[in-house]
Amino acid sequence: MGESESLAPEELRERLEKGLAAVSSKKVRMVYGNTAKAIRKEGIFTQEYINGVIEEKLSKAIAGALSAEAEPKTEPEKKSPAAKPAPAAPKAPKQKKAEKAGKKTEPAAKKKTAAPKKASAPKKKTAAKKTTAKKKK
Amino acid sequence: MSKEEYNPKILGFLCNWCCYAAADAAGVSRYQYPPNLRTIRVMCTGRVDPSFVLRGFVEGADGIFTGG
Repeated sequence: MGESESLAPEELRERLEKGLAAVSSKKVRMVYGNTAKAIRKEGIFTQEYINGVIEEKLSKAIAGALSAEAEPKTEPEKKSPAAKPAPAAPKAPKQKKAEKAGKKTEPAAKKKTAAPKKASAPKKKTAAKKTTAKKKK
Repeated sequence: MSKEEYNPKILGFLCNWCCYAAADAAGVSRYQYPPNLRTIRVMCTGRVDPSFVLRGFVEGADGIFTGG
């Protein structure tokens, strides 16, 4: 590959990696989605109109992504240490889950305690208690 | 390198419902197809992302075939 364009394999690889990074960047994907949405909303599917819209919006984003990734190659490396705290993030949901579980158990306990009251208290009062218990949830 | 020796690696993304089924039928009816085509089954050709194609080239494929 790249022989017909007289490209060295290393350069070709670099270009491919740049392209891959550009294609998988969130910005480009967002712009692509927005342009597709805009074209769909307009309902004009002529080649000229689509080319015009793409040149307006997508070409800038793609050029920007390619140029931005060509200059600072160290950015992904910097991001990787920042990703280390990411494992800490899942811990928080676990705590939340535990809290939720605790909350879930509390109403159950209340119900258990409320059960004998139901027997003694009139029906209207128990109904009111039930509604309040639901609201608390 | 002569043209006869050149044996390109081709990566194929085949749709489950048409191209992959056709390849399967070819296999069942004992047709032989060249081994330099490595197939990847996708549930729909719409699943193929541009990044898949570029990744294939980066990994050393000489050509990408998308069938669907």
